[in-house]
Amino acid sequence: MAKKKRKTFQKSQLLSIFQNGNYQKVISKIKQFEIEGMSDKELYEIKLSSYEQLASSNFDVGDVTRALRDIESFLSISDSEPYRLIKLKYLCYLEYFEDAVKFGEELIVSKDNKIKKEAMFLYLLANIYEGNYELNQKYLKLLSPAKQNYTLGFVEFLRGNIDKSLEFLHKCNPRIQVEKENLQAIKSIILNEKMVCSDTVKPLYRFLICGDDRSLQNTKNSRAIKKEVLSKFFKNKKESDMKNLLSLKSSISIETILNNTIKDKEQRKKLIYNNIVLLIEKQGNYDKALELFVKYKFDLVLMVESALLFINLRSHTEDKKSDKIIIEFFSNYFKLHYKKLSEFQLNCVFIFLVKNINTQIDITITFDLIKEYGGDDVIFLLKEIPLMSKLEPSYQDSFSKIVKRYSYFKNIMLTNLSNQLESIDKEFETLAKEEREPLVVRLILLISLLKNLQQPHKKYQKTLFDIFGNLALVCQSFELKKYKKLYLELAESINVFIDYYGVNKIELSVDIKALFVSIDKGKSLKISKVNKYDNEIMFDFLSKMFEEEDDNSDRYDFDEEEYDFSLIKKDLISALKNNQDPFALRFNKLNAYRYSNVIYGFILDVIAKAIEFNRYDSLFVVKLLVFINLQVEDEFFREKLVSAVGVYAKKDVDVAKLFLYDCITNVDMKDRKYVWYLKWLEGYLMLVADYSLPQDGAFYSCLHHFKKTQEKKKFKSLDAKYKKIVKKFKERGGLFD
Amino acid sequence: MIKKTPYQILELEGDFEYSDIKKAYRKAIKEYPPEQHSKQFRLISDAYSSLTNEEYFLKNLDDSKFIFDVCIELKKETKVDNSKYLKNIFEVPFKI
Repeated sequence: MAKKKRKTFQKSQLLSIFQNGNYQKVISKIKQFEIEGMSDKELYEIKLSSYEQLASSNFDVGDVTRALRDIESFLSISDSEPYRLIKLKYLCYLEYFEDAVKFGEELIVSKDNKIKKEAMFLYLLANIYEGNYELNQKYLKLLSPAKQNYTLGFVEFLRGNIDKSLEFLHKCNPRIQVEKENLQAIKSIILNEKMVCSDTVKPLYRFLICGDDRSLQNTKNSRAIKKEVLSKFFKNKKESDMKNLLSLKSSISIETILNNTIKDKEQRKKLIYNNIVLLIEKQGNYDKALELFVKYKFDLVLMVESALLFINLRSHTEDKKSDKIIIEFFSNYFKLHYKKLSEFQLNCVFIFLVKNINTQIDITITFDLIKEYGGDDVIFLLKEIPLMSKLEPSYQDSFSKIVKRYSYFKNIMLTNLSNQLESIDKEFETLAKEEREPLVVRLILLISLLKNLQQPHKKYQKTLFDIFGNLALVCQSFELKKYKKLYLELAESINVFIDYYGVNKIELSVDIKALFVSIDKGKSLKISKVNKYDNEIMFDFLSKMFEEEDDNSDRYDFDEEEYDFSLIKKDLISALKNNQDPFALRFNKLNAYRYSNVIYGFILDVIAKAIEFNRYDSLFVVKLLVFINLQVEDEFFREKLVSAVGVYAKKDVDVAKLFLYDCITNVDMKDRKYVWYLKWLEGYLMLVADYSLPQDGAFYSCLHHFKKTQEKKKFKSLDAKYKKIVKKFKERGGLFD
Repeated sequence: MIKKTPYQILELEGDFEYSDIKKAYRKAIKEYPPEQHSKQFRLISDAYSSLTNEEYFLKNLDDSKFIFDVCIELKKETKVDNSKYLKNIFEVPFKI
């Protein structure tokens, strides 16, 4: 029977596969087909190259079994020492140490010195891994010093002599940088130290240092330990993820947090919170942060910090998906945390709630919620005032109470009222006629409430005048003749505030000026289509203003405290002048004002007058302080004395210096060791120096005591001052203490 | 460094009331008087002010600084001793 002819394959096709790097396919084609047009020599060369390449690439990806198979195929057609050396290497990597020792014996007698040395190194190592730690010194000496030291170090390591092993490894100093790095990696593994691994570090070392198993040789032993090592790294990675999260290096997925070994509910909610913070702070990803907030709202609501986080998130994103959780979230939040919050924090939340009302149903629920948690002022300013149809008896008191004390959030609410009036003006033309009459009623009620406000805080001045400006705008939409009361009420109310705040009429807004001009001319400028910015109108306003200008000396001083102090001071000085006992007088308000910021100016002015009228003695300061109910040891007094004296010194340095010195000498002996007291002394010394006053006995006493006490106490906060003083002043000795 | 929330700085946890903030502040400054612990004292004062002083609160609100992180104590990372595996798997630091 005729032999079946082998199928053929084109040489060009085979070369193309070879060039594409598909060496396995090249080998398989050669096995299956007769290659047409290719000589035996060419076929031989291409087979060798393919086996060589296959072995090398398989080894590089960690498939040492295939690499060994390929190199053996290579050797079956071309036996050469360099490739046998490669086989020896693969046998070692495959942990076939017994075979390696046998195979190595042939190579260590090679005539090629380079191959001999390399083979010797592998041969010795294969013996060591086999458990034979007794090294053949003759063979060992053939190796380079670096390899000798490594081999000795490795044997000591296997024997458990870590210190000795490290000694050899330290001595091992290969020339190539990559080898140095790999040696460092072994030392790090032995010492259990952290190391950043580059890609040039050998796969086993990289794997043992950071759990990166890329290109790790796939052997029986490596498969066995891989799971064990990776699980350790996985556990540590989770912990380092957490650390990164906590140190705000990078965020992690919420699932990682929830699936983490941290079972503690308290910690989990904190981790979720931190992750959201991280998304905001490091990545600015408010949308994702808000999404997580909504998802984990039940965890987060347990934290008192969560409300502000939510408000902050909402203020940075247009996302409306979280709208539906607002009321539910804050209902739960208030139940848990209401008692922990300050008034301003509550107001902040209340305003947020009102600003985010989206449906009619929400209005009632939101206002009920706010009312339940004490937001009556908010309800009053944001709901009751804008919608009032009659003046409830409590309104005036409520409004006066609200504006008596300044608060930023109340100011926001008043601004909101002002803005509403501005909107009414803009949309006035669209208002139905039947809505206009009730609007006038509401406006008059509001004007009346404003007019009768009792002592609104000075910080509300701008907002209140904005409200008046917008009221004036709205008024102008109504016919003056028909609604004269509205115009007059508003003008009267504005005049009350002009007097109260001492406002210069020229500085009034153009809308208010236009209102006054309208009243004067008997017609609405807006309806008459007169431009309120017309110079003639402003001229009319100014003329009218100058006509009305009267003596403003009785104008109310809105700084009540300052006003009261000036009265008390006047009486005290009068007593000093008339040789009466000033401290026999009684002023109820003085006690309440004793921690006022103007108290020092008051004291120093009185002292200056006492000196002027020759009524001052060393006990005057003590008597005055007792009279005010202040003590030199009061925290308020202690902290502000030096700076207040410094301010007054610009006006009268002698009085300032005398006062400070008398305060210093009136401090109880037992208190003269404290920082605040040394600060007084330092203040006194610097006052003398700054104003180039004579350095008398009092000065040197202060200097001596300051230095002595600071040397003993060594207050860190005074260290720099001490050095400065030592450098600046030479001590003369003192008797102060 | 992990920042703490004002509540954490003042060690306010669980079921406390607004009035407890002042007590916590007093306790904290007693423990960290400014003369000896100026840095910690500043932190404590900042925390107290941001919870009780509207102007201070607003200043922080403008800077979005009120988003603090919460401090969590984690177990120390366990060191992975993998040196024993050097015995099992063949590798050399040299190019061969």
